[in-house]
Amino acid sequence: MAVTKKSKVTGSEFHVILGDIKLSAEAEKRIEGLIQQAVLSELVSYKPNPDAPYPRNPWPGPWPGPIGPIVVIPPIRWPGFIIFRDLLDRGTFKGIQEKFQQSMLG
Amino acid sequence: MDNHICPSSTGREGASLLGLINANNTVSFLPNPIPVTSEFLEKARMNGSLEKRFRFSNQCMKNGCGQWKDGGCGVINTLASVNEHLEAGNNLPPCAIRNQCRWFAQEAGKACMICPHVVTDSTEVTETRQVVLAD
Repeated sequence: MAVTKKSKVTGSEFHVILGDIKLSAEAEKRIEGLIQQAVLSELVSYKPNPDAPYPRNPWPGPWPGPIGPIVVIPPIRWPGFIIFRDLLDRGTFKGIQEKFQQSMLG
Repeated sequence: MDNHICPSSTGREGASLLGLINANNTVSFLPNPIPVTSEFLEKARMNGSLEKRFRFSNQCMKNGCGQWKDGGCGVINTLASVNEHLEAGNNLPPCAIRNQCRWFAQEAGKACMICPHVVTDSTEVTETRQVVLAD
């Protein structure tokens, strides 16, 4: 059994290759579930990493923005509410927007 | 039968992990949402606010949700209305839940532009929140 990892993916991705061995659909589903549980176990301690590279632009083509950060609170046990970007400090907003746009264009 | 999915639900049983919040408060979405377990929720809560670190999807609760207004999701309605300048076009990035997404059903591609900038937050009342509510 070989364990490989693609080198060109930007995010984490895991592969287990069994060569010519074909497991049953049930077994494949069980393994998929176990992998998901393993990933979840790792993510319980996830925290945004300020040193991580900005995420790539998910859009096909140039980023169609601009848009600022929006915080929404939350869809359950209301009242929910929304903090609009106009309520952010102007300088902070401008800095965030410029940084984000740079990352999206890059 | 209306079976839309809320792309900004809270972390609770029945939800799926839709994405991770980046340090710049944008969201990186998983290609395939992962159903969360009670064990995950319990342990993850011990490391801080769930919704500040993760985005969850779940069934749209419609009338059971405080954000439901005038037959639609008030969250995306509001966000779309204050971002009228956005024009998504037809070329959208991949999304695992788009064909069932409540927000996409209401605002089409514009919802997809706004979505990565939404952090669902369930923290207690803060000074900022009080100011916002006072408005």
